[in-house]
Amino acid sequence: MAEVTYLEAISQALDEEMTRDSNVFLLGEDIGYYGGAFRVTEGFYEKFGQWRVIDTPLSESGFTGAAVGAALMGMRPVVEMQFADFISCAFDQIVNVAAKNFYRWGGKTPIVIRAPFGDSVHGGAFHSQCPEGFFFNVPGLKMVAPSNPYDAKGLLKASIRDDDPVIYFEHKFLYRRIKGNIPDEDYVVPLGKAKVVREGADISVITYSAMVHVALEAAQVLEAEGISLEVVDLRTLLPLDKNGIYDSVKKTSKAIILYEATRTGGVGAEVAALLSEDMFDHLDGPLIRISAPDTPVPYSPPMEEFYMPRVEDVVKAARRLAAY
Amino acid sequence: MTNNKITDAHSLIDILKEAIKKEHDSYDYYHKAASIAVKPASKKMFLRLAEMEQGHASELTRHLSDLEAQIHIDKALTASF
Repeated sequence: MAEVTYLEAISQALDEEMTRDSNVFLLGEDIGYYGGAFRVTEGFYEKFGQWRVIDTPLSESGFTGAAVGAALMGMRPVVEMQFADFISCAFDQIVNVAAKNFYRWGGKTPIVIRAPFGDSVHGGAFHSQCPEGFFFNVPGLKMVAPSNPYDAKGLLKASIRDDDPVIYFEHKFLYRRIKGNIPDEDYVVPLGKAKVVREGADISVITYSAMVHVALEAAQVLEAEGISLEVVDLRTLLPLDKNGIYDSVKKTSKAIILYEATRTGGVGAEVAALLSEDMFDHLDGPLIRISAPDTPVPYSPPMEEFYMPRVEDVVKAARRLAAY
Repeated sequence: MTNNKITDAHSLIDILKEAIKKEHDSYDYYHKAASIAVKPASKKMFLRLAEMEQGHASELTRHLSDLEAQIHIDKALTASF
């Protein structure tokens, strides 16, 4: 076991998969000579060469389309969006090409799109978005969003080995702030499986990525008040692990859905809808969503702090829900 | 963040590193005082003060790590490769 940062875990997964399978290669802006804007691929250009670590022009649509073509020819490309915000430029290639190939003729499109996303980095409206909701209702896509180094490495390896297109949402705030132990040997974290990261009895907090840490901090605060939170880390957003969510809610009968994307029409809304449809008889209180408001991410740090879901928001909601 | 702000952040890093060193020195100072204190009340007070200094050092270290992590993100945001 070795302790690594979230960023190092991602880097290790890429390195090991490229070493294991010569069909795996990388494309993206400044990922080669410079090693990536966040330095995830530092040293890769020297180790794997210019044909497997390709510096692309500033054209997300162009290099994502090239990657889709390579995937159709049997390669396993990993595309880096410098910031997840820029993924909208490649929307057509992802949604209308990569996601639909299987439905059109059974074509496999094993492409991974790495998307550094998330707030709390003072990046403003163009470098802080959580765009998972844009892709959430697209059949044919898979989406993951790890919260810790173990899952970051295991989910990336699983994504690269998967035959479907996967968007891998990696949280910028966690890159160098979260550390954890990971095994020395090869492992994957299966796609489509949520994980209970904290057992609890009173309220389920269903969440993912950086918000897992907010939920865990709130759980500590509430423990002193005798309110026991169970924290469910979704890990995979598409497909959602319905059974993992339902098992927790059957136990606690109450649920908070916590996410840092804008409020309307995304992962949180879908989890709430599923619980309302399938778990109504098990619920002893209202479903509560805690999210960012439906506005662009503010640039001003105090406003960004206000915009983000905070520990005190979870604590307040849990107190309200515990009273039912 | 502009390059000036990145420079400011580096100055803050130097300040934090110096502050952490001062807290460690204070911890050693009080710990040493506790070891030579004869009265139990004095020993207890020095140990409590040493523990407080350790707490300050931990808080400053956490802040330093956070600032260093943010500097990497700021470089990416401003493309100051």
